[in-house]
Amino acid sequence: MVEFAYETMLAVPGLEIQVHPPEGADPAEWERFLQALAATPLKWRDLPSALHRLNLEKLKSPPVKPLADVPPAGGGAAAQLTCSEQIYDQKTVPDEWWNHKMGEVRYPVSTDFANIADCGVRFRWEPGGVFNEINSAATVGAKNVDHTGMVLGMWAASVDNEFDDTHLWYRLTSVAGLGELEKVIDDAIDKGLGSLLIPFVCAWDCIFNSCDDCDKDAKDIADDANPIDDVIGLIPGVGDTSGEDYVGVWHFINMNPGRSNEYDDHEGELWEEGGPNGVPSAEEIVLMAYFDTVGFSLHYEPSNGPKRYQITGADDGLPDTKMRSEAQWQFATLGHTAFEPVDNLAYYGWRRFRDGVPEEGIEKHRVSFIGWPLHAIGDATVPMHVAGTSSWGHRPFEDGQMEIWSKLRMEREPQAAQFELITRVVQAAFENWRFIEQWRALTGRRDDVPVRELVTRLAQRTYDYSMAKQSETDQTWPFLPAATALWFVKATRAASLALYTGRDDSASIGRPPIEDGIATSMALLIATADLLPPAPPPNPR
Amino acid sequence: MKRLILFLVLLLLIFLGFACWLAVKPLPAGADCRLVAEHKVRLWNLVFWDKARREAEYQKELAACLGSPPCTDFTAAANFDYMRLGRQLLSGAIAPDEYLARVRDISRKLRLARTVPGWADALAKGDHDCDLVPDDRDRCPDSADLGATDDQGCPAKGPMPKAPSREEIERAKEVMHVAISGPCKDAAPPTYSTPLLIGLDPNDPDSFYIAVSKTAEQPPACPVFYDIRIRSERSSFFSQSSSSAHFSFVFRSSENVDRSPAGQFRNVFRVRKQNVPQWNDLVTPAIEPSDHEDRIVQVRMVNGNGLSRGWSEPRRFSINILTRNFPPF
Repeated sequence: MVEFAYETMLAVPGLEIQVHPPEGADPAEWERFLQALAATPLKWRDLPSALHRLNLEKLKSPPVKPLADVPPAGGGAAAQLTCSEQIYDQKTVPDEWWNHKMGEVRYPVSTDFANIADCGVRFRWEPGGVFNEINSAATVGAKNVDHTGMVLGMWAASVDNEFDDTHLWYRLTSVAGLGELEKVIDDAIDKGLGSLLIPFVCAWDCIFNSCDDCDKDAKDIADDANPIDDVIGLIPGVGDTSGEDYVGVWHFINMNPGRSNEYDDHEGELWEEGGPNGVPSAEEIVLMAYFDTVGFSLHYEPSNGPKRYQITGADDGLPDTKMRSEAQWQFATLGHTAFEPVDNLAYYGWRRFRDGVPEEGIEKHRVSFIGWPLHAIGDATVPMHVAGTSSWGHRPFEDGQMEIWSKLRMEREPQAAQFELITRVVQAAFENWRFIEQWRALTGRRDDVPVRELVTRLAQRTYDYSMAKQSETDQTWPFLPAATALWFVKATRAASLALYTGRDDSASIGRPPIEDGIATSMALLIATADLLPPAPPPNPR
Repeated sequence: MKRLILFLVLLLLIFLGFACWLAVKPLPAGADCRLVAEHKVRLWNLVFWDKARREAEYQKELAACLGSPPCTDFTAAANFDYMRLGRQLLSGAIAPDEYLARVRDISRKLRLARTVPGWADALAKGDHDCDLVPDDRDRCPDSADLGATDDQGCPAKGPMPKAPSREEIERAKEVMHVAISGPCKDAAPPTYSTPLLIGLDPNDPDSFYIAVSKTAEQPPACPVFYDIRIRSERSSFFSQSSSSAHFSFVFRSSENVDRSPAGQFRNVFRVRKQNVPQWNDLVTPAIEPSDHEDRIVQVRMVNGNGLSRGWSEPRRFSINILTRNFPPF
């Protein structure tokens, strides 16, 4: 989505696409917007990629040789990394190819750069569709391809790697009352409390992940997740669990009417109030009951989420979070914990990007932090994220969108159709940009962007669209509890996905929120470019 | 006879005295609140408090570790009620809409206690019927246990919230393997299973068998899972190399392929090549006498309630060209 937004900014002037202003737009304002749009990529290209801050040890598994495996030859030639496949007709790339300004990054960065093996590039990448005409190796030469959109997209995706946002543990419930704690732990080990976790792990994994581990030929999930192995003397709670399955609890914003919104103007995930129209799915209710039975709750101390996403000292005109104490955070079980909403996550990253954090050695405009608001925008286009539900078809919906991505972005459609899509996106970006400009005029904050409102407004539009479609399609899109139920069983997982991808209208019905998300991302990038230093004159390509 | 009785009474008194001493002995200075809570549990046991009361009070004590009264009191009470409702839902004792209504009722009252001045303090002074509405504003002081009420403590009116049906909940429990189900009710953890034999199918080199001992002690229809892990250790004298690999498999007892009489006492599970990416690490035998191909196998049984007694002792099998095949059955 971010990459598409960036490529669109290259394509509009590059392909001389005639985008008409939306009806009623002020021509002068429209012109100013188009100029800003055309100038934006240059400014982003001039920012360091910040990729050098990643843990390079993770680029490790075979067949990639260790970093700097080819010694610099006779004074100064760059060391080389060997990739498992060719990229731009070569199998080697310079060591630290990523450590440059974004406009000088010579290879498409993998969206999973932080985690994957290999040399960190995305093989066989090209921008796709009409974008190939202005920014592919075939048309401009490999050395001239602009990979800035890829880097921005990678940073947006990397928010899902913030595993330390969420740590969970088991607060002892009734069993503890029946005897002494040590006895309970001994019993737990003897009687296999670790095993008791298997169903839980399966359930959670199936909601948030591929749930391959839950099938009979799977890995030993109990060992992976068994907190009893890490029994520690912290009371009242046992064990510590974190990882990719748990990151997402901060990535929701519940736009249902009638929610309690106790701590923020919009609450995030709160299972007992989640689901379309506030109806939790059967899976969520079962998990909620299960959590209450075993006392599964947030472990405050090691969790970054509460510290990052509770907002204090807000300067965007929206209220601060009503702060919760450590006790309040961790004494309620998961089903009754209101997690902070995803617009707060956006704001956390935005403030760090905007201001830097000198005491942590983080400079202003470090590009990794723009990933937070961009990620939040992506989440706000997903119906389940804005209805506060982990279920109702959440996982198969998202996987389905990935599967039909080329259809959604009309990659193989005729040029005219793609231009129409670009036109719609740019017009919607204009509306978002205008909102930002109005907010700036109203507040006098020229060097700021109201990211919380951007995300919330998008979430509201996604919610309204989703609920309307739910009704129009006779409850078959997008909220589909059957899809989650089928997802749990490997044999029926393909059928679960097909409930979304197999529809005749799968692309046309799924596209509007995506377009909206691309447009909002583009508006954010354009408005943020106002904060960045002037760009150097462009290199003639 | 009298002497014997006197002696027994004396013994009993000594025992009780010792138990009392254990229960009331002073805690070390600086003992954390957890120890304090457990100390109190011992006292409550002595005075024969019932289980529910002990549990509720223990929750309060634990809550006190994290904050100060009176908030801890109602948080603990709420958690206790959440837990009981959770169990009731999972056991099918209450309908999903009823569960949701009651859970939301508790959460709403928690919010009241957090936001309405005086509510929490009043709650700490008394809540006779444990409906989380303080006695001083409770117009219906004898609410049903776990029943949803309005802010005055009287039975809640209005429609039930929309919720999935009982059938949907049962299906969800099944696919999520959340098995607090009838057939496994009150079943003890299954006994230990032990690895018996492993080897390739001599007629099908793409199948590998694992045999483990079985038990019939679980109630009928209570599913039993066999969680098996295998570590492969390989070393070669001539190449001076060694390596290892790990494999994990989970089988249901119904997947036993041994239909022979021996199948009464053992389960034989089949692993297929297509499901094991590192197939060679699992099945390749040692060729040279100086090479070692060992498979260290452990198994644990888990019943449908997720209970297990843990892993068996590891058993080592050496695989060479003579022992690589599983005997016919």
